[in-house]
Amino acid sequence: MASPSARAQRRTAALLLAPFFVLFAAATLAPLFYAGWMSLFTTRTSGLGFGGTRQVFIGLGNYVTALADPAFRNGFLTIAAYVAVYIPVMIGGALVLALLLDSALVKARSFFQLALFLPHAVPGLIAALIWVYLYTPGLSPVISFLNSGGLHVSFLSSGNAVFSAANIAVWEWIGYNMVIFYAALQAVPRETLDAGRIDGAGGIRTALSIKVPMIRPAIALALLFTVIGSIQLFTEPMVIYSASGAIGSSWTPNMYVQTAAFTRGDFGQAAAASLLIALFAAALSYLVTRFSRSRRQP
Amino acid sequence: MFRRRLTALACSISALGLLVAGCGSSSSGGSPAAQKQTGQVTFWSFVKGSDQVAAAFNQTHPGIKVTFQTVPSGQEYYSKLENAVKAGTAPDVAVVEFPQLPEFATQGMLENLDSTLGPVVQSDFPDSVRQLVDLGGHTWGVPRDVAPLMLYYRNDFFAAHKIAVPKTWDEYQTMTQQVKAADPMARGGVLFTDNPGLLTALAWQAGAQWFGTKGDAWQVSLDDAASTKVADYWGDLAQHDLVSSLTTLDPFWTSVQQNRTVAYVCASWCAGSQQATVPDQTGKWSVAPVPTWDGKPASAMYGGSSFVIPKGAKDSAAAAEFIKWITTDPAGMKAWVASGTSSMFPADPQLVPVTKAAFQTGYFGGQDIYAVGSSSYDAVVPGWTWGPVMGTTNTAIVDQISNVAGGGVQLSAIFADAQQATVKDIEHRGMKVAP
Repeated sequence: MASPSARAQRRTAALLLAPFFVLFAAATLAPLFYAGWMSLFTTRTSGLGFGGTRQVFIGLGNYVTALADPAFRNGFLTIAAYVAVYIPVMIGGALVLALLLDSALVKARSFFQLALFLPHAVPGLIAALIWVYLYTPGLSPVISFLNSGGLHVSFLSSGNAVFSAANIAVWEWIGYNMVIFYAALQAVPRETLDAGRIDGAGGIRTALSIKVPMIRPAIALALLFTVIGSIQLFTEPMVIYSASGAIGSSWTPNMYVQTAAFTRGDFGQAAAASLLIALFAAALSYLVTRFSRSRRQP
Repeated sequence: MFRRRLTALACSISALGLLVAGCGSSSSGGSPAAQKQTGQVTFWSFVKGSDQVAAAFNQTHPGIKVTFQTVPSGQEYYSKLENAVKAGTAPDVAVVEFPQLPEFATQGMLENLDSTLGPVVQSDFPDSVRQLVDLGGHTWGVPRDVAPLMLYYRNDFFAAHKIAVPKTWDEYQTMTQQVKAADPMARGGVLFTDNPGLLTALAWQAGAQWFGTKGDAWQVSLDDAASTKVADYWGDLAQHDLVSSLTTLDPFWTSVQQNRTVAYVCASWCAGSQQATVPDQTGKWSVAPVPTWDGKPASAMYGGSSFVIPKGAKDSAAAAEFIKWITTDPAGMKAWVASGTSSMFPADPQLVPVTKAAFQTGYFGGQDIYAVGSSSYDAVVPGWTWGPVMGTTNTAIVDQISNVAGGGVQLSAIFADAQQATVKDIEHRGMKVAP
């Protein structure tokens, strides 16, 4: 039997939690179920098509079509290539910058912190537009400068698109993750560091053997967010796509969904592909968490 | 529901021998079927001059109130329109370019105009454009403008380097070589990497017929002999760097501005864009008929728009009245080009004098560009229709076209891929494809 005070407490908790669950149901669950429902239907017409359309239930047909479509599957290969470039550069770079800021080497600490974080304050779409401008031959001062030095680089060729997209994302996210790592580094106990120094560890040894292992949870978290974010890669390549045609309309899985919904008008197909992407992201984040946890508790 | 019953009643009364015009079923010759005098029309368009044409209509038609809403152009707009129809918030009148029209019609997004504007389309427009809006035995839109091809070239550059204006595609290739030899930075043409419209028009000009109908099935032949010939020709020019590979907007106009593009093939509307975008090259540009394969006049269209009544429109009769005025009435046509900077070419040939009088030709040294346009319009190869999944078809082409210049992909192979993607999508939507 719960005491009256416990019951009151539970009621307060329910009251305080209610807004979350209402919003969660309205903004996450409802669209999810609606997408699931839509993914089971397709629009059909017949003959030449001038006699009107009808909605047809096709079960898992849209899922089968998406999985059988090389354009959809290739999107995941693009993401794999992108992640292979982006994650080491961005996470590694953010870590190095955070360690530098944390070391005694840097003077104007808060200035650098702000300067490196600033790009993150620029909305992704604007950032992508600025970068595409810098990538476009004939407009870009960077390219004219490189050309005048005898260097001819085509940022918007299909071969370099992965690097160009990764570069935009690095610019946007390196400062953000650096701040997270730097904050985690502040929590490393000074006694541990002092003990290391007394044992004769230099700056680099301290960083690699003490600081990095101690902020591993922060690194794992950043990795998780980055991986999920990468699967949803959309804004930067979409801007590159509309500005240059260097990449295809289904370059990433999310772009495939966009094309299915808004070029082909096939909402069922788009819903099915979205749910497949969500499933894939869920599976991958489970793996990343498992992997980082097992490393932490050997 | 109530209004429809009322109209039906009015019609049955008039059928008793008083009035005939005005009722749904009357399609007597060219007489105006739509004579609605009052109503509210919402109007979506991205075409230049749309606001002026709506204002002019409101002034001359006090009973009908047109509310104009500007929309973005391109694929975004077509998604917006499609979603509006699905959501039941469609406008009463909307612009749809010819290539997209069959897709909207086959997706059940448009009102059939047979009884309202069908007779006007029959009587006022030549076959080459009527075939773009009459599909499957019904009328789905009314053409406003067409976009016959022309060759634009820098007369100063051509004169200084003694380069002849090409009349055939063989001579055009020679011209591109001469241009590059005269100035290593300059090119005599462009392969657009983000828009297949021009390439499609060039295939059309060569006699390709990508789409057709046979009984109740679509015929699809993007990889026919004429298309392959055109693809090989342009792929070759691009791979030998005789034409530049650029996207249609900023990079292209920048190249014109910086004297890197001294000749290009485009539609009639490019004249207006050219003088608006590169005003400081006044007097340096001329137009000529588009080169042909055998030296005999042949042309095609790159663009052109029609006006439709989307499904779910609230006042179709007033909408039809508005569409008729803006597409076939001299006063309506005059309102479109009131700015004097639009080189729009009317689909109704009788209205050419209206737009011709409005366009200021000083930029082109006073050249009669509408005469070039008229002969190009007359020479449009008949029999072309657009397909029912042009979004997919165009995307399949654009997805790979930027790889052509590098030599990674053959342009003709892209057409073969697009053929596959198109057939697949037509069948996916439940339509038939003739073997």
